Amino acid sequence: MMRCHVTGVGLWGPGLPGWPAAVEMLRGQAPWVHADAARPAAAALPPAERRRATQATRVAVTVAGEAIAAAGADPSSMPSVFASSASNPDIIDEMCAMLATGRHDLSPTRFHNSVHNSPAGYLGIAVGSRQPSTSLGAFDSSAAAALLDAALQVSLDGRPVTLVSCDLPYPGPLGTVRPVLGTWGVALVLDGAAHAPDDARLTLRYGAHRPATTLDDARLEQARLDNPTARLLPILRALACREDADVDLDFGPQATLTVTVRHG
Amino acid sequence: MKRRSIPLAVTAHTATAAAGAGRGALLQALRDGRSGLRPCRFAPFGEVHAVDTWTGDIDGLEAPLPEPWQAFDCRNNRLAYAAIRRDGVLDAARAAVDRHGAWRVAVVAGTSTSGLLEAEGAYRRAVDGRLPQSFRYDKTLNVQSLAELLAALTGARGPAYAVSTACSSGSKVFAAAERLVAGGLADAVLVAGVDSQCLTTLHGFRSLELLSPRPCRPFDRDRDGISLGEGAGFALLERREAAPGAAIVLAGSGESSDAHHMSAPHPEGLGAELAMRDALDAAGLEPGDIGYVNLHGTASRANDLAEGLAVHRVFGDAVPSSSTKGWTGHALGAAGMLEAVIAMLALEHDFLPGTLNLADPDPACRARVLTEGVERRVDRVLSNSFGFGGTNSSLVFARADVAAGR
Repeated sequence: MMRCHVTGVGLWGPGLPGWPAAVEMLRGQAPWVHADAARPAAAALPPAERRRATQATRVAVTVAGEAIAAAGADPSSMPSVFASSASNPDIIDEMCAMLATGRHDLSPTRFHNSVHNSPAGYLGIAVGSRQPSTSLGAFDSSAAAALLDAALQVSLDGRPVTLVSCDLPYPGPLGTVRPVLGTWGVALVLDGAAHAPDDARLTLRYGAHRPATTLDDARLEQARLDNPTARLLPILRALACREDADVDLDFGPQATLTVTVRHG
Repeated sequence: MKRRSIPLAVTAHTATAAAGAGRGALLQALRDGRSGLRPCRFAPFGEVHAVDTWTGDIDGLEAPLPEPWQAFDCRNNRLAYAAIRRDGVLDAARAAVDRHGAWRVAVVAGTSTSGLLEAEGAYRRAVDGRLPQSFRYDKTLNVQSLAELLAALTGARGPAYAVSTACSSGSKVFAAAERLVAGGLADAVLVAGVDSQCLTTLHGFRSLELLSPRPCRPFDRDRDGISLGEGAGFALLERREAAPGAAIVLAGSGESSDAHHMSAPHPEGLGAELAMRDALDAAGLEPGDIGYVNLHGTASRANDLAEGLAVHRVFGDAVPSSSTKGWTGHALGAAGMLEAVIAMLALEHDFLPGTLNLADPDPACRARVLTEGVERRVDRVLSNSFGFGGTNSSLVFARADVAAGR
């Protein structure tokens, strides 16, 4: 069993350009308008890197920045755990399509941006952190795997960790076999101790598969199924509403990561 | 201060590279100075991609995966399947599942491109923007496919996921495994590093102008780029109490980031130095306790200089080191695992490999790099792996019968 506190949250979703907007929506205080959100600012990236950064990187850096600011943490001293089912699906589609036509002149920048950990690499450059960073993938359970490793690091090392999960759609033919909808990014700063009295406490337990926790709102539930990062929505809802919840996340076909959220 | 690691017994390990399939073959190739690199003639779809470079491609991967694993069929998983059955690793993993219980055995698999070759092939056969029905995204291209296949092969039901951090993947899996055991999530972890050739990798590295037209010459004054390679390696890690007879332990691991540039290392290897020092701290060791360092040593101008400077700052002139990529090529996500196994071969066989193709060591790199192999007993070894995005990982392995640290 692992325990940690959530001291900061960042979010980017369809029509949700930040955690405050998501909180209002999750509390039912504002309707969820599926607008094409403005481009994520990723202000922390130096200009040269921001020019080269992919959409996934911009989202990752933006949500991490929001969570870190909310936590009042020093990002240069924090390890990070990045999760995505496939972090740069747009580049993979682009390169496969190009190669299929017989063209081999891949863009060197696009190529080195295609590695699974490229958002994490840019994030490290953005915050100037030499702390360890890992990038995980576990298909639809990527966020659960990252939560597990991040919570382990917090529990074992007694220091805060930034968790970032980000997923976006595959354009082109891969999108027909791997339908991911919307662009979602979530960041959590996890720490061994609470900073504020209402910082949520998470307890994680890994065990045999149970049905994943669903959401009552039909559109939120659909979003949860349509995007691997959105699998975190039941936890986010509990955080936004300051409610206690026991959330079962799928961890592969045979297992469940149960996350209990407690306030106060 | 870096947390002390829990030392983990290595109860099974294997590696398959162009230079040799399995530990015995690999050791013989290292002793004989016999490289697995050949001029590139990669032809997965019929036409030959004769890029002006040498690569360590692995032969004999034509047969599809047998049932019930057919859905996972792709070059990467064929390589994994062939490799894990060598040196008794699959058997040992299944025995660990029996011994500890399936829920207590985890799988952490490192790969950078997974089944990308399969997706490249599917795009070539796409009709009206649709891929062939036979293409199984989740069991081939998706980075998780290797972890899922390994869990299914072994019966493991503990946490199973992929680490994909470019060229440090196959090394970082060891640190992830240590966290799972130290945190009480697992009693045994099967760690893997598997990567295979694909057009994206070949033409991508070519476009970055990182490929040498000759077999790579790590740490040579005239080095001019890398040689790509394929590889698959595995290790089974268990709590020491559960494996009192194990000969080798993972004594510690260290990880860091460069926070410098996406495709060039920090020029002085500051991140590399951090990872090495953290690995030593985690193992409770001093630099002088290490008998051999297996370098990342890709033979790129930038890596070898940065790594050499960092290794010299940590280890000075005393500790011999070498890069073995002249034998295997740079197997990307598998490199960290291949080289962990090679570092363990040094411990097991009292043999420190040299650096193939190194004729004129670059004095600017400073580190003490072996050109020839040396017969010598050492008690502890360190292995480096660094990747795009400035990700650094160092591992320390030690003889189990020597005190692992203070």
